[in-house]
Amino acid sequence: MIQSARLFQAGALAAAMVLPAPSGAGPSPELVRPEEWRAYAEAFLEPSGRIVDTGNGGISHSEGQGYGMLLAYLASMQADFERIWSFTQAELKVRDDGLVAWKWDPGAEPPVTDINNASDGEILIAYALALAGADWGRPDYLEIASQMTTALGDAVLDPRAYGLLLLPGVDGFSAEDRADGPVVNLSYWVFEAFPVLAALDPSNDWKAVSQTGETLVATTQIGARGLPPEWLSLADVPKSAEEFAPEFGYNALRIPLYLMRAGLHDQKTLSRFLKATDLGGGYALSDLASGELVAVLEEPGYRAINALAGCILGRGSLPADLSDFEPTHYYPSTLHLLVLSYARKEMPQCL
Amino acid sequence: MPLTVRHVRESALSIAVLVSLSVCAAQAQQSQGNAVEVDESALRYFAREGDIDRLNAEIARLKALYPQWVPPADPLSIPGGTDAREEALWQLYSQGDFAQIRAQIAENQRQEPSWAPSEALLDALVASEIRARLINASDLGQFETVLRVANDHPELMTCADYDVLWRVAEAYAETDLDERSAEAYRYVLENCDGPAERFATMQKAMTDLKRPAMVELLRLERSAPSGEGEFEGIRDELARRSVAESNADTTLFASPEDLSRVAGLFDNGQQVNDALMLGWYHLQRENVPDASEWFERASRVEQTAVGAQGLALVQIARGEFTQAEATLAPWRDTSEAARSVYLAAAANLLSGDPAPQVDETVLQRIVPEVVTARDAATARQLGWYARNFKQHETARQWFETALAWDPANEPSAYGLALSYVDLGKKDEAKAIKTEWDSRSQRIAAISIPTRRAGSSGDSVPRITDCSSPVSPSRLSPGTALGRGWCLLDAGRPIDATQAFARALQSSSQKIRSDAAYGQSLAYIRAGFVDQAAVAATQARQTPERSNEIMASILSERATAAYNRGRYREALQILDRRAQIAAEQVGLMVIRGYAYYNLKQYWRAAEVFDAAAKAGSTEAAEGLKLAQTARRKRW
Repeated sequence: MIQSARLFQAGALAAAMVLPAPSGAGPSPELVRPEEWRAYAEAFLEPSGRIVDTGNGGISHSEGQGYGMLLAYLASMQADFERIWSFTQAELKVRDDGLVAWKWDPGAEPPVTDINNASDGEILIAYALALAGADWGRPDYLEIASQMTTALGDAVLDPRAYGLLLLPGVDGFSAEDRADGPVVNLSYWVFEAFPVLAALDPSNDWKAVSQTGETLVATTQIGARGLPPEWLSLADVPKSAEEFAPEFGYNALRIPLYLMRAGLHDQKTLSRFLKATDLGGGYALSDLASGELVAVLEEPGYRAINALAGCILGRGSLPADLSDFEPTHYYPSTLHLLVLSYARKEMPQCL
Repeated sequence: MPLTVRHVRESALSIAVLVSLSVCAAQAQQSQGNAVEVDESALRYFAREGDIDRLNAEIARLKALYPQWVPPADPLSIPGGTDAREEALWQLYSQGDFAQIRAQIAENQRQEPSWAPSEALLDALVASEIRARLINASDLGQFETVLRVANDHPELMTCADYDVLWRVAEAYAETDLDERSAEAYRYVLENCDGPAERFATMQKAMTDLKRPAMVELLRLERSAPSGEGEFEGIRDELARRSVAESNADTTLFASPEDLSRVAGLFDNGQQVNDALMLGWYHLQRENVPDASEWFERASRVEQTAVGAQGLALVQIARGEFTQAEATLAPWRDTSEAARSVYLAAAANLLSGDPAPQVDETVLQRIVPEVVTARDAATARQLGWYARNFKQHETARQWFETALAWDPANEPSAYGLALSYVDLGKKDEAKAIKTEWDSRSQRIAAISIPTRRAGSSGDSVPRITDCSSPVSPSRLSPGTALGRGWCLLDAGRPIDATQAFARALQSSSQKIRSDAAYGQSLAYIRAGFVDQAAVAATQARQTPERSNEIMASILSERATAAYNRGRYREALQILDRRAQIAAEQVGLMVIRGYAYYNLKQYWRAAEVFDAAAKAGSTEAAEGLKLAQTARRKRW
């Protein structure tokens, strides 16, 4: 108890240095517009504070709660932020280790159907709490963000030859847990969050984690298209983890988005992703071994990722139909708002 | 006392209950010293709404926080209630919309930054949120979270909320802090007065605490208005539980007091389960007369499948096989267990020596059950029965069937070889002999067509009747081996293990090897996989036999691991088994579901596909599931 209080103090002080000074409001002007947030909330947020994954049978998960909190912060919607956090805390943040159960199914009793955590869920939640806590003057948010980050770091960071790894969950991915372990998911590296996590949790080396992720993203080029897999085995030479589809899929498409949002605009890397995934009218998911297309995603949220990359690479701004937000499904809609909010803040010329 | 890890953990986790249980005194002093004013506005709101449950809960919560505080006689007279926004929040509170209250508070503060809800509302809200989290954690088995939450919020633990008290007590028990658990239950009994809740508390305690701790709690019993102790029913349940536990684990014994209490319960209540429980208790301890009496008494109250099984087992134990078959006949297809006892009765009935004359109608009801259950042991017994009446062709068919259902079964092969000899089918008899030569001494010894095997030191007499009780220690190792096979055929694998144990003392390597083989098969049949593994190592086996035993053991273990949810372990075992024997379709299905449960959908689909092509409908269903799962992002 005493130790964690001391860590928190250090974390909170350091956090104050990277985080915005309290303004009492969110980012100004709102990076997610009020009408965008209203449409998003109307489509995916229940009054109970649950973000509904409409593409996955209406379940909820820690990732969705984290995205919801981050977007509510970016929209300066403190009321909905509180709502989502209230649900998250009461329903999901129940694990003995202080982390968050990842899966919540409204049709099940009890609704948490998988008590395992998912590391990107905690990262998004802690990151959103920290931003909101600093900006809105809420030390209670900062304290919980700090505790959660420390608990996560203590449980899932794994020093290996490849660097300090972020395991995707507490159980099931380490070298002890599986023959081809450690296995990581590069789309769990929410790069923009790591400086904040480093401030919240000085006891773990989150900057090294970030560095490992950057290196792995730059060097993991598998198959004809030179893409990373969804799940990456690092037992030996990096390769697609066993029993997972050897694909660049729905998870991995976030990798270039997270790079861009963190200001990691390396031209070579971004063009590689763009070339391998941009089909003009859609975002291409492909099989790593054969290079064949697995799916072409046409919803605006997916296409917006490549449109932003194109703009960063000097190919002109986002087409008009991507500059306006219309909700589709939970996942692409979330990605879409992450693209738009970033462009508004850092790349207004792209809009 | 040395400070162990466990002590450290206890001291870390135990604060909650201890604090809450005694604490409030310290808090009281503090609050008096600081002259804290108690915010009673929640009381006014709940009283006005007529919400008596919440009113009482709030009074209990405030009392826990401020023990010296006296609730107002008329909550409606408490001043306040001018702020419409606050009133709206209380409204939401009474609907349980906690997330909505949080949102509304934030929204109110956006409109008017200086606005704040009352302390009472915030306190009540936090308490409700924390309570919801505690309940969720408890439902999900996150017991350390339960204890941590309780630790931080001892005011949650009041007699107005038994559910929380019980869950905290359970959480202590689940984290192996039995004494803390007992203390928590003790707290309820010492402080809370609801008669139904006190009784329910004892029922909950029974699921978490052992008998001595329960006896301690019984001391806190109060007298009901009738003069009877309020926990008399708990004593009854404890006695029943003791008998039930002894039935589940035959190394335990119920005390004479418990046995006679349950007997008294039956006398007074005529609940058939009480009599059945006692019947099983005595049957498992080979007290046939008492078992018989209790099953008879049960059947006079109500005829049940379970009762009929008990009675049939009593009759089998007495050698009354005709009666046993008749007793179970009406129940024979009501459950797996009933069918298996029925088949045991049938096998015994058929195996009499001299061969009994079994009524045609009885045979006609035995045969379909044998076929339905694919029961090799009884099929084989039908073979012996037919052979005794020189119906050699019928005998051949039954032995063949038995061998098809259980291809590794030596006694079936033995019967079949004899039938071939009886029928003069020399080539078929030779083929069986060749196939089994290295595995069965008695099959190897069958002579074709006329010469009988001479009696050598290794010879094993064929025994077809082993129904009469004989202590294996009085038999020669060779005779014990024969008896072991006979008992195994008769569906008495446990008895067979003892006969084989005697045979293991033989000086003949061949007999010892056969005995070890027989004993491991018997253990597998009885479900004692670990013992089977040990038995298999007691004498050198041929590689084929070793593989066969090992494959059977690994099948059992893989299935058991799967059933316990240990999928990775199940796969490892199946991999080991696959190195020595081809994987049967049933095991492929288990492998498929193990992969599926580990979210290895690609592999699951591969395995299901192969098994489905071999004709398994279960695998075809699994294949669909795995393919669906593969298409999802999660």
